[in-house]
Amino acid sequence: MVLLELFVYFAIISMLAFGGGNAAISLLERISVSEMRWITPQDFAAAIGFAYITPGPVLITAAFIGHRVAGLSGALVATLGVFLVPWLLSVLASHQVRRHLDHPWLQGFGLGAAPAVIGLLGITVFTLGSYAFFGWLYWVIAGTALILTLFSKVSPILILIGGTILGAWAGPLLAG
Amino acid sequence: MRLPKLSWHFIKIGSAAFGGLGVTLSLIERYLVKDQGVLTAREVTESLTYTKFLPGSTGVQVVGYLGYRLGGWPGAALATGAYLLPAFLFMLVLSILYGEVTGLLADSATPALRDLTAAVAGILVATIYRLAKPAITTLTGGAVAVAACALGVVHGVNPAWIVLAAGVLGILMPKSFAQKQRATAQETNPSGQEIK
Repeated sequence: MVLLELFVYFAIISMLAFGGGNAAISLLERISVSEMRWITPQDFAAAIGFAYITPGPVLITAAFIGHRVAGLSGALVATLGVFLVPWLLSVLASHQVRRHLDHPWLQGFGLGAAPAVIGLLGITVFTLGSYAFFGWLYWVIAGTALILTLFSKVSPILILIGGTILGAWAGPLLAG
Repeated sequence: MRLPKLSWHFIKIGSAAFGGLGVTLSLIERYLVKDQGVLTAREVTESLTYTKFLPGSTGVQVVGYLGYRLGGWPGAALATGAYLLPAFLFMLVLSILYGEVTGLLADSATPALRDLTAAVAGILVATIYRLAKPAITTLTGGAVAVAACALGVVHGVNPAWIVLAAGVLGILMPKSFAQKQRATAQETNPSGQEIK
């Protein structure tokens, strides 16, 4: 029964997450900590922390909560619950958009919306910057990452690893 | 694209997608647009446009949307499963170890996370440039991009409204957004495939 509960509640959370995964964190907390008492507030804080330090979407927190509640099957069911409906909607959107791509209205909409969508990605850069840019070293890391991504064939994965190692090595030297 | 290869690409993308959507987009742009030429920058932007109106994790939706383009329903399912697998396994292991070593891990991870974030910001700026090249070819387009960013940063306007307003503007005056559309479409489509 607890598996069904996990699935249904995580599906509800996902369907209310307008604006992406981060928008759903407060609802996720209210349901899993206050209402269902699946985990303690401390566990929840740790779960969100882990979701940020691991790759992938922040809503993968569901796997952690599901596992604390009902083991491996809990983790699977909660993960499925939190991603299934949004995934289904996006694939249906992909299907519909492809079918009607020749319609002049849809073409016009795409033309106008594309610059806005790209501009909105700029907000993420500002958010990341306000979190990370506390010294010139971080500007150097970001600038190097930008130049390498634009002008070299170095894999972004290597750039991420390199940036982290450089910061970890040079950060304490600068602070001390 | 064959399904095993598709899955492998999305496992790679999923295991390095630190910070979520930004890096996911950068890796899709790098592996599937630039290296493999199976998607176009336009399709990546399109996936962002239409998932803006849907609730849920945008990263998963972009992967589902593009996975469908690459291989229909099986492609969408495999791409998303592969994308989520690394994150799922990480969280499972962290939950199993929770209370033993994870407190230590969380403390030591914070400074490293900050270094990682700086690199993510740099990579994301490069990706924005790559996506913008075919999508923003007119002054009006540029103005809309700047306005969208400013409205979000300064006033916190809901992104869905911004995209909707810009889309309606595109329907009303498509010509002011669409200069040189053909030339740029081919330029960003190295495989020479017709854009679906």
